[in-house]
Amino acid sequence: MKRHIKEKELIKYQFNLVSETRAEEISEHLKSCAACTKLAEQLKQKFSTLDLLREDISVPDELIKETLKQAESPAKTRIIPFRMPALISAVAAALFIGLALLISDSSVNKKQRPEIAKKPTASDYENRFVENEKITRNNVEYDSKESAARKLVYSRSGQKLAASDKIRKGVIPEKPPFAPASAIELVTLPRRENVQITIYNSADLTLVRERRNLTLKKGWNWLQFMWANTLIDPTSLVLEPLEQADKIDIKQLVFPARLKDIGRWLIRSETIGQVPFEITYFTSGLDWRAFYMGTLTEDERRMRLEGYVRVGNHSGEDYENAQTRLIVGEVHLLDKIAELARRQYPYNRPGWLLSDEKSESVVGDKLLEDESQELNGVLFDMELGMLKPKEIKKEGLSEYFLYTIEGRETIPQSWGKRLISFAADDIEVDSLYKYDEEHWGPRTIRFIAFANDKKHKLGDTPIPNGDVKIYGRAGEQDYLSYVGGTNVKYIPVDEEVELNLGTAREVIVEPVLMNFETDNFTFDSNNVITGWDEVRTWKINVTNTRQLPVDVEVTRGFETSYWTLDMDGQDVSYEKHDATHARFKTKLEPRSKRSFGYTVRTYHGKRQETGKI
Amino acid sequence: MKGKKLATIILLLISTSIAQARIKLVALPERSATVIRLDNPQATLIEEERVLTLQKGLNKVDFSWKGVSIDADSIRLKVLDHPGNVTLLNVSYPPAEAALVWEISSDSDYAETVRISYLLMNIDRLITYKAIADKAETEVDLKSYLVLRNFSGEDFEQARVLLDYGEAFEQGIDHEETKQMLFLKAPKVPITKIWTFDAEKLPWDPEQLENRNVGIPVSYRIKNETKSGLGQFALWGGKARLFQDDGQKSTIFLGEDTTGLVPAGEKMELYIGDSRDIVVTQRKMKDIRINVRRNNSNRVVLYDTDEIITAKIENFKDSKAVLTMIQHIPGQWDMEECNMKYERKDAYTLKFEIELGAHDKKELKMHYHRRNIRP
Repeated sequence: MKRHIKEKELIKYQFNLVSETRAEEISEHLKSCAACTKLAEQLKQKFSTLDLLREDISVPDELIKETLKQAESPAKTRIIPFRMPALISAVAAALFIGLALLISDSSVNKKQRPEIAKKPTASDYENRFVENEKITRNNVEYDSKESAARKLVYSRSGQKLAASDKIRKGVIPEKPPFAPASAIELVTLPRRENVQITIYNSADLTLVRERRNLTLKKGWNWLQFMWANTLIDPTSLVLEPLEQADKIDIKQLVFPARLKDIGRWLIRSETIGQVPFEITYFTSGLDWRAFYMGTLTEDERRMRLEGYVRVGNHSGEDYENAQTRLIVGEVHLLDKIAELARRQYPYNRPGWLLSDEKSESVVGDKLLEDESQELNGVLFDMELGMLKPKEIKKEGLSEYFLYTIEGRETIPQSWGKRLISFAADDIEVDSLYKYDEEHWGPRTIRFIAFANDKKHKLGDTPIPNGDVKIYGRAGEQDYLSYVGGTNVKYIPVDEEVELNLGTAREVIVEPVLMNFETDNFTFDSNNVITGWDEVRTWKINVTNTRQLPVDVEVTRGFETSYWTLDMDGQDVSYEKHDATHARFKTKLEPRSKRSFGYTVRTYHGKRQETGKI
Repeated sequence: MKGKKLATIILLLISTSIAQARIKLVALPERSATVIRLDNPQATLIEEERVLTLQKGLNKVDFSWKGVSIDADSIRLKVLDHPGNVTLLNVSYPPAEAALVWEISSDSDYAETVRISYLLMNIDRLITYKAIADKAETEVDLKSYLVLRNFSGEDFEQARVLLDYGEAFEQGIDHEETKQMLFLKAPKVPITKIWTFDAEKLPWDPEQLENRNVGIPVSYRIKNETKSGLGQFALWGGKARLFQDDGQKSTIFLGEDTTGLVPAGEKMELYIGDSRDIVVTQRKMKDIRINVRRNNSNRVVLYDTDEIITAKIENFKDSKAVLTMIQHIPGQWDMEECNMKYERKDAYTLKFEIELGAHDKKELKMHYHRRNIRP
């Protein structure tokens, strides 16, 4: 039996690089030798995978040498027959490109060529590379790792060589690399360096800003962001470099097909190394609200007011060591963030009614929070060793007020946190009682009135809307009594506040109709009534059973714009509140009664034209 | 484009007749240049080039599609290499098939490049805006993003995307993929901030609203003009999100709105939210009939009114503001007395520009008559 054919020779044979006589010999041998046929088959398969790998195929140096020799000698050049399998042709083409590049390189530096063709060392490569860099770009830094990677590519694949050579010369290929998004991913997670959350109270909206250091390579970079089981609005995702912004271009954000809660940024970078980035997005599920506790002095002329904020987290994400900011203001939103977060496709799909096209506004339409959950985490925030409550810094911005909580907060999922916002002592308050049947029926309503201004030891910031609970003092030992609860609307600086504490039992307003008559009838030629006056005399009895002086405001409506009014007596005056209402104001001493009367004449039909209004 | 299961397929029929049940033995011509034209928001036009191997004489070319929605009437074929020698004779639609067949006459054997155009459904683009205002609210850094949405059923590996302005670009997009890319960047675009109280839209007397604030709508106005660094082309409509620099290297979100198409030279107005620091309390203080005229039966046939409206405007802000107040008086009217200047926007609309200092208070009083009212 003849000797087996060597592997190298079989490779040459497969690429038609052996002489014709030898080719015939090998062909004959293969017919009779099963082992060599198997090896030849294996080699064929190996080279056929080359097309898939596109790189990392080791080509024996001998073969390259041989190929070079053949290229230099036209007599030995063999035409690759068209009938060759396509994959083999591809390998040949790859080799040819590699060859061409090597040849072209030789024209630049003939002395170096054989060495490179043999096996370039890392230092050879570095030297060459540094030389190239000096010529083309001096200001780009490379790390040794990158160079090593390029070396590997350079020594094995001509095509890759071309690409990496371009990058080396500072030219980034125009076309970004294809990076298929897969359901199974292996990714490195850059640490969150810094998180800031800005929570709105008028809508279920939080702006999250997180800083992460990302390591970029020169050229194209893909960055994947995943947010499964959170309530992030993908349309709000923004990535921005905090440094070297001129060298980094965020080309696009791709929401891959058939994968949910994944976004991939394509970044073109002219720089290498770590760059701080900022990712911002909206999320739903974090909320805050203000609430207040007022404690009245015994004489109810002064009050201590404490304002609190309560932050809750149902976003599905823990926010650790986050700078927490709260926004007071009515923000205009087109879509609910929670709905955007739940969409199957971030921007929906064409043909669907876009929310943009709905002009429906959801201003102030906040999702109801889950009280029971939030109660679990009511905390007074005191850091160990510090033992003082955190302060809240307040600042006006545009139409909003920004509250920044001192230091950092950790708000785990499902937890809430309570912080004191402000406290003011000795706020002068007025006890005001209002009576307006059209508004509240035949009841007197109790109000506590003060102003959000310096005179009342407030006025630094607006008072956000929220619940108020008012307590009174009972007894000498500072026991408390609960006076009533209400909610307060947003109070701008300098505006007056009236806290509605509900029906008053100790101040009674009772209007009594004392007289009614009609007068001044007019008739037409058929003796049909065309006009008349109605005259009513009212007595308003006001009783203050409290041991405090009180202000009382009585509003009366006449259901017509045609009226005139006369007071019975001088001690109480009235003002025309609007076209159909008059408002009377009076003060009552402790435990006193007072009555005042008025006569109102209303004009009907033709009598409206008397010109007395 | 990938030749996938959903792909549109163009077939060069070698079979000569088209029967009801068609058996096809075909060559599959490769696709070359593909163009996605998104300049019309109503429909997306796809243009693709293919090389057809035509034989001398009559050729049948079958164009069919599966899993995609193509408007069959929109399909066009254009011969590029030999328009004089290759003639499209007719187009027929096979029954119950998403397909059409072209009959093409050729005077010789050609590898002919043809361009096929058609309207493809469920692929489109959206425009979104992001603007960051400076702390003083005098200018914004405006960015516009193009959002490509492909739910057509077709993967576009690489296509040339054309919009109605800006440069065309190469972009691939798979079926069910959405891509967002920066499209326009305009730094330091001047803005005007506007507060508007429209008496027809907002409650008059906050006192009547138990514990609720009346928010005065706040908008930013941006002019699409060269002075603003814009004005080159119309700005497409889309959702705009506005932020403000908080002076601490961070931003706050101010609000969002949608804008319609803004032609060059026109204004874009974006409503960001409501101000509760400007409070308007408007009341009608007088509303009576005067000059009542009656017929012989003593019925009122015509009258005028005597009306007084007062509006107290309070600015609780630390900064000044200009409130645009819109008042409406229906029918024929004349102003008896008004303590502030106004502009008559139309027959029934009055516009006041009320300048308010920080913590300022003003009161508007309008005394007017509506004339010749018939009951």
